[in-house]
Amino acid sequence: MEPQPRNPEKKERTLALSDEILLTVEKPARYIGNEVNSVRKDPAKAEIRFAMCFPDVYEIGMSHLGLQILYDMFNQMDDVYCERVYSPWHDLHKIMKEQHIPLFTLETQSPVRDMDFLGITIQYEMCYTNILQILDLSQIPLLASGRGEEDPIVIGGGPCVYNPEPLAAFFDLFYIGEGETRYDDLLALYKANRKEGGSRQAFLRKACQIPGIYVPSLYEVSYQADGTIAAFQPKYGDVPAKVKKEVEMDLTHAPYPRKPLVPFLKVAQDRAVLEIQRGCIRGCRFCQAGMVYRPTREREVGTLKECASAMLQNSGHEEISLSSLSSSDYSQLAELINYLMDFKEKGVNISLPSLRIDAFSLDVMGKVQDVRKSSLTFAPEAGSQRLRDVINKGLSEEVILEGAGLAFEGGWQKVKLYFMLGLPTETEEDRREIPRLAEKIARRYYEIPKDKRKGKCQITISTSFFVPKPFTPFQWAPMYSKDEYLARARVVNEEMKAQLNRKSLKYNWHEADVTVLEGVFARGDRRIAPVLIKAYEKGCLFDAWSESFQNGLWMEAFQECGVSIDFYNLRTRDTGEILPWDFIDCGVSKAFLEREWGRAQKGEVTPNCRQQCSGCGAAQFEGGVCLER
Amino acid sequence: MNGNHLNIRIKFQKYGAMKFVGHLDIMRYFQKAIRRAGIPIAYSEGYSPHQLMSFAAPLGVGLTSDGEYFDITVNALSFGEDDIQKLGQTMAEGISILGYQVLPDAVKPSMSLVAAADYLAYVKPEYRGGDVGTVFQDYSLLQDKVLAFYQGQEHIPFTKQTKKNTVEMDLKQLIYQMSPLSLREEDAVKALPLKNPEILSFLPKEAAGQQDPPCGNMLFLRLCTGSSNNLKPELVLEAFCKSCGAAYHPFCFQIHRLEVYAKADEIPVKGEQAHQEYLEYLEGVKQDFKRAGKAFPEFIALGASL
Repeated sequence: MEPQPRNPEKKERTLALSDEILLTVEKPARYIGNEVNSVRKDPAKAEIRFAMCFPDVYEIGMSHLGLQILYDMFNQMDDVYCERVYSPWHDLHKIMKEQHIPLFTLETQSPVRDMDFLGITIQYEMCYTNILQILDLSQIPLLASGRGEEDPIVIGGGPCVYNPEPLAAFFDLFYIGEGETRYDDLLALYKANRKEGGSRQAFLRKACQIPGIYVPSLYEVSYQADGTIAAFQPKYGDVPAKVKKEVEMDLTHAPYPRKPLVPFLKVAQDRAVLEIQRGCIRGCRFCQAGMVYRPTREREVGTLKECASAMLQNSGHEEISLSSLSSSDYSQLAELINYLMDFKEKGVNISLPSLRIDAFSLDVMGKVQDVRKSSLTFAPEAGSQRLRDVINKGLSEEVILEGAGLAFEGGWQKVKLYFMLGLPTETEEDRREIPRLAEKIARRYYEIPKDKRKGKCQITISTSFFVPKPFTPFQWAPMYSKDEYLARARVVNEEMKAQLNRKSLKYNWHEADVTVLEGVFARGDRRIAPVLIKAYEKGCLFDAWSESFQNGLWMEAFQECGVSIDFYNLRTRDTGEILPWDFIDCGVSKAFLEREWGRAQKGEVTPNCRQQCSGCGAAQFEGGVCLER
Repeated sequence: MNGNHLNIRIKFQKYGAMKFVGHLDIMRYFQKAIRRAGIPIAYSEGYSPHQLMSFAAPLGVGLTSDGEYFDITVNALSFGEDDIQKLGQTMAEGISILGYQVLPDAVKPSMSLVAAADYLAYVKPEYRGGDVGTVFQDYSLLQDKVLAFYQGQEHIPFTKQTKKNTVEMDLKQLIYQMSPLSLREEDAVKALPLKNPEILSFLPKEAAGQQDPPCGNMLFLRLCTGSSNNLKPELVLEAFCKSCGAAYHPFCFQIHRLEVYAKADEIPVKGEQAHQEYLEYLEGVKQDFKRAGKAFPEFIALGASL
């Protein structure tokens, strides 16, 4: 073994942070970049430099598939260099603030403020203060109106931009819908505008003409005395009144990363991820993803096999998982899983999504996981059949008991059940049905003769509190106060203790503080922005982390800004009210949502897209499930 | 385990930004790298099989190294330059594969063999203005301080702070060698028992080869290392700074590991027959040394053979 000196030709990067800082903070590998498959380009040769940000800590942001898709897509473009940015954790945040160190990209360790674009993916409401942190540490003015020609164009994308209004003041533009389709146009426009010496304002004014692009500064909102919106309209005649979401209709040929980034740190999703389809045929009335990703589109199984094989080869990951809503509805699931099973021999684990429990899925699960340790998951969402009909969740008690029975006979002992509390029309009886359903499952277990089962079963009930989301049939529904939520959870807990097999049941519920805030941000309007700034100034950050969340500071911020939580959460909105997100056309018509809201109140079930078309409006995209058969 | 397997020891280098990646993450990194390279590594039995891979001596976060080792077991009859090249091609910047060695079947894991390690320490540029920088700037001063600290003391008492309590240690017997090293004197480099003439490769470019290097002088340390007794170079530097009356700052030194050693007369194989065979071989080697008029070495680099 003769050591060789390392190649002196290769230029080493200079890190943005000193050794002293990196050796002081927790997990310095969060901030150094250099991961396998991260892209190195000469920044001097890139016409456009794009910072792509997930506003949460590295281990969370690195686990997000959408960002990896866009990172790969942008870097396939010769004249674009896309680099990544995540939220510095509390420890580094403090140091950067004290020492005025500008936030930097991981790849070249360059200041974010030197980029042409800063794209921020907005995946959940509780990251809003982290968005402000990113802007603040980047030394970019928080308010879009305060930015100059030198500042990057700040773009927001992701599911939360289906109601971008609480964040409207902080973004130059929002990209509404799926990212694969319009960036070519947007970047071409940017280059052309720069070439002709056009200003930032000129760029934004032209950008609003691109489908899917919403430039909030070009619209104005007025309010009525009761606080509801009086009018929402473009400031200029040539600015489109409606912004239609973008959809990638050919997933099979759309960009998909064959060389996923391989982080040094153990991240939340430390595996290759295969997105098998987008959208969901089921039409659960509480589910925003099930509405806004319509129509359901599949990726061809041949492409998926090729992707899986390439990703595993290029990353060295020891695990692969499938990503989609309702994976059991993917038409080629058996073929795909059988193909992936061959990788088992090469030491690759298959992490299954929650599949509908039937003979096929149990067979597969038995092969890829340890039956004694793994658990079955059901998400009935509501305890009673009546309420399941209201939310259009087509999972019946018979199906659950049959699946659980099958699984118990196959050796499983653990079941996880997921429910929501605070659903529209929910009564005390509905809540009490939750533990009763768990009890029935436990009884089904104890029907198995003693000598054929191994000890006790373990049924875990988890409830979350329902937050109505824009573009769902429940977008008009009221929420409740924190105390009311906790009272509802107590009913479930009390009923659980009354069950015969209570020793086999376990109940977990969440705190209600976060739910209340999520409700405000999900359906809020432009008047929320000052509260976000105030809360950030008070020290709210990483609100999605229970150890960081400081409800007291939030309550102060609302109070000091004179913004009423009850106005946003406790009202039942009239279907005639102008909602803050009404200017977005998400492909599903308001008439359909209203029809579904009406059917929900009558407990009428709507068939899924494969059973019968309900005329939601997504057929206009002329593809996916709408054109099957 | 059937007969179709080989034990391989791989040596690598760690530098640049990779010094911020901790030991556990380096292990995970190599697990994935081995798969990318398509090396037919063997897996343990059981429900969640893991790769048969073990690392010699963990390197602390912040340290660079020219002498890191891990052992793997592969399901193959041969292993060679091709495999090493494939592995080398999948490396991130800051990790380079330096070489490999096919080990005997009955080899003990490298972790159990580790007995010593060599380090270099120099003062980082931003700390050269301080007390420590002053000591290191002047070679003869540094030499005097090392003499007083190491050769001049029979015991080097040190109080180590752990999370729960304090431990009294005597560093003297765990420091096998300690000497100042001048970059200006090539002879000084040659005088040290270093196999590798490239020891200075890790230094900042502006320093290497210059007449009057701005990084000043360095310390060479050979320390007791291993699972039973282990001395971290940081502790020695802290104690040394104290004895010089200089304020110690945990970040003021860059520490570079040069090599990791086993005891030269340790039997690196298990099993009675293998043990006996190695013992006979060792006797032969010792006699060869004697015949050649050379002293039998105390330590041998993990990646070398006698």
